[in-house]
Amino acid sequence: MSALLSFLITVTRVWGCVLAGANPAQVDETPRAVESGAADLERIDVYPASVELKSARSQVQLVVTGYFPDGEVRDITDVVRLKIEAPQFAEVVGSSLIPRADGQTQLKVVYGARQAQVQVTVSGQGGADPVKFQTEVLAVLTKQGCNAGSCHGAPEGKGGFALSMLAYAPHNDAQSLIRDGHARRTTPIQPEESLLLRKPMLRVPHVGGKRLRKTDAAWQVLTDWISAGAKQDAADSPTCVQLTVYPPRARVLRLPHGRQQLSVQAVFSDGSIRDVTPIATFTSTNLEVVTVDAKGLVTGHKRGMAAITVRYLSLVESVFFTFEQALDGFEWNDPAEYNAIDRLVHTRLKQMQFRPSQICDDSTFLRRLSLDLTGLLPTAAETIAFLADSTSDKRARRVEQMLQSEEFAHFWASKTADLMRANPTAMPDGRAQLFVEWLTDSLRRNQPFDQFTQELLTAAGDANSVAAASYFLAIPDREALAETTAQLFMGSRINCAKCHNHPFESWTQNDYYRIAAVFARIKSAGSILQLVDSGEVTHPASGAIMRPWGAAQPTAPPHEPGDRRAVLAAWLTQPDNVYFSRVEANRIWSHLLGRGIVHPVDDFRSSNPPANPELLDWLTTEFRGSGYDRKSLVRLICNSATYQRSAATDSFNAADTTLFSHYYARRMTAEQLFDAVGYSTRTIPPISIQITEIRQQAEVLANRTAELDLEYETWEAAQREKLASVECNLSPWHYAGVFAEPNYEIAVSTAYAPEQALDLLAPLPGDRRWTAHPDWVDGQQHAFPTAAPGSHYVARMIMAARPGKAVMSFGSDDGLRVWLNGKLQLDKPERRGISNDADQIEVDLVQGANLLLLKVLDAGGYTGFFYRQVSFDGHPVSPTELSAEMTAILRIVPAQLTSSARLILRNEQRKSDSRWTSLRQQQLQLSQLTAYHTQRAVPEQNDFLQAFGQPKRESPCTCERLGEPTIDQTLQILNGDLVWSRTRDGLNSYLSFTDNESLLNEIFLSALARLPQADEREKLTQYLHDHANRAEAIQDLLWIIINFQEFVFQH
Amino acid sequence: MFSVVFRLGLILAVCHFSSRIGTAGEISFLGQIAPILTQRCLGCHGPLKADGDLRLHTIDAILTPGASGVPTIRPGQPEQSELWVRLIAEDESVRMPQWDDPVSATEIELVKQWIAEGADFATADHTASIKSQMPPRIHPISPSRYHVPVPVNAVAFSPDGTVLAVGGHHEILIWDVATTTLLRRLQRLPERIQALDWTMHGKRLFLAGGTPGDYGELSFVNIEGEAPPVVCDTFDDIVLDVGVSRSGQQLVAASADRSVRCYGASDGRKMWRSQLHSDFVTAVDFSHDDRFIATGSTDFTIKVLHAENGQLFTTYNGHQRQFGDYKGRFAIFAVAFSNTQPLAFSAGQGEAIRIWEPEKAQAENGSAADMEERFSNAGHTKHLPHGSQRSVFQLRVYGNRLFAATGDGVIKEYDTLTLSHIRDYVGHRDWIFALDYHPLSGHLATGSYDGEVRLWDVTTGETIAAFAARPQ
Repeated sequence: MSALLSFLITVTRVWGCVLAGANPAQVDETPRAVESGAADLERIDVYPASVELKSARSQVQLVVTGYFPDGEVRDITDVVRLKIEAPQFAEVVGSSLIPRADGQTQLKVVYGARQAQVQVTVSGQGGADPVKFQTEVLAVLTKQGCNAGSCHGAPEGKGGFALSMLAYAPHNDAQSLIRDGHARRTTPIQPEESLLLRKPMLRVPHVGGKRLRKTDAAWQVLTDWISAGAKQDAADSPTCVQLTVYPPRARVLRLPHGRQQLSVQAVFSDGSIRDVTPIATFTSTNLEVVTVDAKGLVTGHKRGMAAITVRYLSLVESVFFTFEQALDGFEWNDPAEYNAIDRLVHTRLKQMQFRPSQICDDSTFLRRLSLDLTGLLPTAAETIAFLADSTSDKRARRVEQMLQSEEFAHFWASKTADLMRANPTAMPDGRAQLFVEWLTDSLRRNQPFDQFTQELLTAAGDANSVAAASYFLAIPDREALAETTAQLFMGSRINCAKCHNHPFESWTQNDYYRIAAVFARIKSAGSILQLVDSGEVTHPASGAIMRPWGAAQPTAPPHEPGDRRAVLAAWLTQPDNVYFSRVEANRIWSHLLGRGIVHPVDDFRSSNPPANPELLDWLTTEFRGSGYDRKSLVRLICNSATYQRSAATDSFNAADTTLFSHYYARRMTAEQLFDAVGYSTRTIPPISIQITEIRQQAEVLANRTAELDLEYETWEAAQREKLASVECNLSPWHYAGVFAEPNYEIAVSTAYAPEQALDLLAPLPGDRRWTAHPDWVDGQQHAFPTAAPGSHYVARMIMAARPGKAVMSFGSDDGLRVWLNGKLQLDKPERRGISNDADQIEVDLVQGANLLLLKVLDAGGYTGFFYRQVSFDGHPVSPTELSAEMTAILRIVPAQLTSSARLILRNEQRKSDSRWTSLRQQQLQLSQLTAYHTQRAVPEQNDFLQAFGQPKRESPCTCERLGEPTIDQTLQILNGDLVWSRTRDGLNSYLSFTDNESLLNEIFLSALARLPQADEREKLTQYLHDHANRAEAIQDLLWIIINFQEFVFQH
Repeated sequence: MFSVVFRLGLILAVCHFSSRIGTAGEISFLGQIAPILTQRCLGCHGPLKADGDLRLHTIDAILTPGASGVPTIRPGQPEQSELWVRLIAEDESVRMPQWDDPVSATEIELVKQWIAEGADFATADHTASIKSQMPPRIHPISPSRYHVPVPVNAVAFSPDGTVLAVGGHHEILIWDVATTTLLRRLQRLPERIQALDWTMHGKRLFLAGGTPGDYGELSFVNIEGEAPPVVCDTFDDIVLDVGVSRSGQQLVAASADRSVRCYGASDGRKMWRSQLHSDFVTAVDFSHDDRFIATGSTDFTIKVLHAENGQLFTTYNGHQRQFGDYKGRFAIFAVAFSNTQPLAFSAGQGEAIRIWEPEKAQAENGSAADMEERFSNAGHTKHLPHGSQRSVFQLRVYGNRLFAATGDGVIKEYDTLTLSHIRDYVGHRDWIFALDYHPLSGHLATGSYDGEVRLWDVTTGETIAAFAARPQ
């Protein structure tokens, strides 16, 4: 009677929900583990809320969670009692449910005084439920490690058996498993005898060792699949579109209750949902903190945080686990919160039982802030003034002051420049300086980061005027552009996905080539980045044309016009983009705190979770809310107590390396150290003089630019007027170099690249490039720079105001061929010496651009050519100063000018202004002249800098800057050339200090931003006193200071 | 694969399998203990892996203790012998095979008794692998029906062309060609039959096959009567092809264990053994004058051997070219000689069948490493592009007819003189693994992965019959 009553009560409840205070049901099973603390339980929760078993092989993993009054959440799956009301329909195996027959029943979950019920619906038991190849067989091959990159997933496979890495090519895998190797791997008529099972079970020798046991879910999947004939799926089989892991995203567990069962459900393209817990792959990101078994049972081992990554086919989800542990003697010290950052940091610290360090002293703060915001040590004078300042807001004011400094813009620009290949090889002819100046100016103006990104990613034209275009010119191909752009702005290292699906992340090969497709329609020629209207990226395996990343409509045809990069930039910078603001906020945090909340800063993935997600969320929101104001975020962080904590630790936070309980001391960067040695030895003058000059120069240049902009319309009109007066305009000659060929006849008969297609902007085979020779004036003989036998090509553009006849006159050594607009006009291949006016021809020019190409053949000795344009339309031709390119653009009606054409015109205007060009030249020289490497657009590379890990600026990875200590560094600091010469040269300046106290003060303030302590003062005064040679003693002193840990470190 | 049927003239007197099995009453090491070691121990303690520095694949290895230094066997003292102690351990981390199903109680008892009786290895060779010395396996009876199709890996017409032998699961199915009815099932044979050939009088069949990755066998069976099959030799991996000399005197087997082994056809006497390939040997054939044997392999090479002694004559590298047309590395699945002239045909992966001559191949095998580059041409090799998307698995040459069976399910016929394409035989819906041609009747038989056998008329190109090669 009471059992019936309780049944009636329970069926009326909501399935799987909380049943606080209900009577325990009469169940007779014994609990599978000890119920500790069951009495205190507040409620229990069962996942999933209802169970549907829709086919014969279906099963559902249950997860039961207990909630305790003190806030503890505990997985009680293995200690609850599970009972099926009607066991003829379903059965409990371990903590999973499996079907028996169609019907409905209840699962009763009982724990102490608490219980819950779950509706169980069983259907489809009569129907077939064949194992699916793509969604089951391939999943278990991944789970067992068969297709790992070091095993059969290697490009050539292993032992003659190749699978695609992590099953990215299912069709190839099917062939490998079913028919390849004389069909040796599967034996459907006797499934258990299949090599595919016997090898990994070690029934026959297997180099890869034991990989499969009969008790593994994989064994049953493989055996059933082979037994049913080892078939591929039908072409329209559903694919997995979504993965749902329980518990979702994150879970906090309190040790010793560190166990958690996971449940993984896959949603398929036909809408069906299946529990795939047994065939999903689980990995831990930190095995010291947490491990996970093949069935998805997670075990925490010690206090800390780590993620469990769940992979199913190409989908990856992570659950972020936090394990708390009560520490003996831990007491929260209620530190002050300066702003919201501290609240969020403290919450996490309190939870993990780390105690924050004290706020650092003023000296430490000033030195730290100066190094972080300007890259430089504070000057002695600044330090004295700051220490003497007794106002309460002096730190905030100092932050503000440094944010507005010119040094800030230079130093922070160099951080970005490091990642964008701003080196003289990738950006030659001074374009690296121009590019970094552009980065600097963006920071100087505090340009919102979204605008900065858009300007960068849509840059086109001549990089000498549109400096941002260098970003594209410096990166060799579109794949590298895709990788770099993703790493910089999406914090994702997608390069693995170039060849196969990403091993730790859900980036697929499709995604990779879709991002690459964004850069399919740009073309670089020398310093010019052109937009072109054709070009596609195809998937290397399927050959499909890839739709560019960021395109709003999934079905949009890939051929649509427009700058694809603008679409990507718009996608990146829209407010709900999950990467953009997070990645930059994290980068800024990392610059200041020495470690990213996500670390490394360019490796965002669900398996590399943030150390403090709430903090990163908040910073992201704040950054976005401020209109992507970089300085504002820096300000916020620098004004937090977290930033201002001492680097000193105690026993309650020494172990913390990720949660910012104390400041993480770090060695100065190569450039910082170089500058610090120079400044503190007084061998380079204080930066302030130079920097003021640079800033003033920048302002003067900006003013001149503004003036020119005002005059622009007038200027353009004047150019158009000038053009109108010209009938026939000749561009400078362009020389392609020699296509060497010792055999003259072969040289004559071979049509090299310029003959095949003439494009003065396009690169030529080898390292050749069309080079302009404005010095080759018409009416004179010109020798080629390289006198090698073969074919030399010269070409020029002729702009004609209207169609008309032109008379041209040539000479050459040796033979000559002339084409106009691709049509052969003169054919004199015989060997001969040069003479003026050897051949004269009349040709028809079309209106607009005409291309004239000369092939000058050389059999050896002198080689060169002669040209003179006799007349156009019966009139003699007079030279003008308008370039042919300019002429071409100016012929376009103003309304139809593209933005890049406009940029070229503006650049022409500026270049034609001698004041502007000289001002810019001066500015570039100034910024390159400074002795401070943290402030230079392109730092020099020397032994000292390289020893301390200066990056060569060749990759978008922050890892290019090396942080590891090396013997070389120790030697450099102990007795390297730089330290030796700096201390030697510096002593002269310090000799002017005659009394020891002010000498020591000056040295300590310059190098360490503090005054010497009493014991230091005493010892060093004694040292100075004891040494008769004061110069040597001062040099020693400087050497000692430089060798202080306190000097080398930012702390 | 046998290139032409019924060329085996002499009757095999008896195949010798050197028996080293002990006398009745005692426990035989090779017969009873070695199978347990092979099946359950060699995975971790064998030629490929030596966990705990212990190997058990030869008797010498068994007698050498592993890293622990404890002897594996102390004759007469099972309790002191690690081999037995580890089989019965209760702790799963100690018990062998580790983390696996335990060895059966009967087998454990056998091991114990064998050690107790003195651990006698009888006459077994101490240095050769125990697997190679084990007696032939006893094969099970085939299931009465096949619940799934069994791939057809071998077909062979009888000398008179009236019956067709088809490789099945642990059996050969004998079909009447005219009615396509199943005449007989020859059972207790290796799991897969990869090659079949009839003796000239049509009363016996040679067969080769085995279990992939585990076991290979060459044997013969009488068509009539109840005599059990006679095993000529066993292999460490499946035998993939057999060749018979034109004279009928010699028999050559090619195995996935990388060996090529030659036997006297009359008495099964082992003549020579060659181990030159570095991967599966997939195909073998004799030259028209019985001077050479060519063996194809998935190591991308063909070895041409002297038939009389197995010495290497030359290596044909036409399936791995770095330069010129048809460059790439291609596994070889089929090799066939012309029956009238010194011409070889070979194919596998890649787009073309190679046609070449052993003597010229040798002449072109210069020592200069850059030779191929300098003469970036195919040498004397002729390429016959077959247009199939997948590999060629079988070749047959007779007179001027060349047949190629492909993974596309199409048989391609060419004229060997003009290299012109004669016709395609279209009908199979799966990869074709088996092919035989009966010149007198003009019949072609083919078998595919999906278990279908087709009979074709080569004068018309039409299908005569198509049936599922499974017992009803």
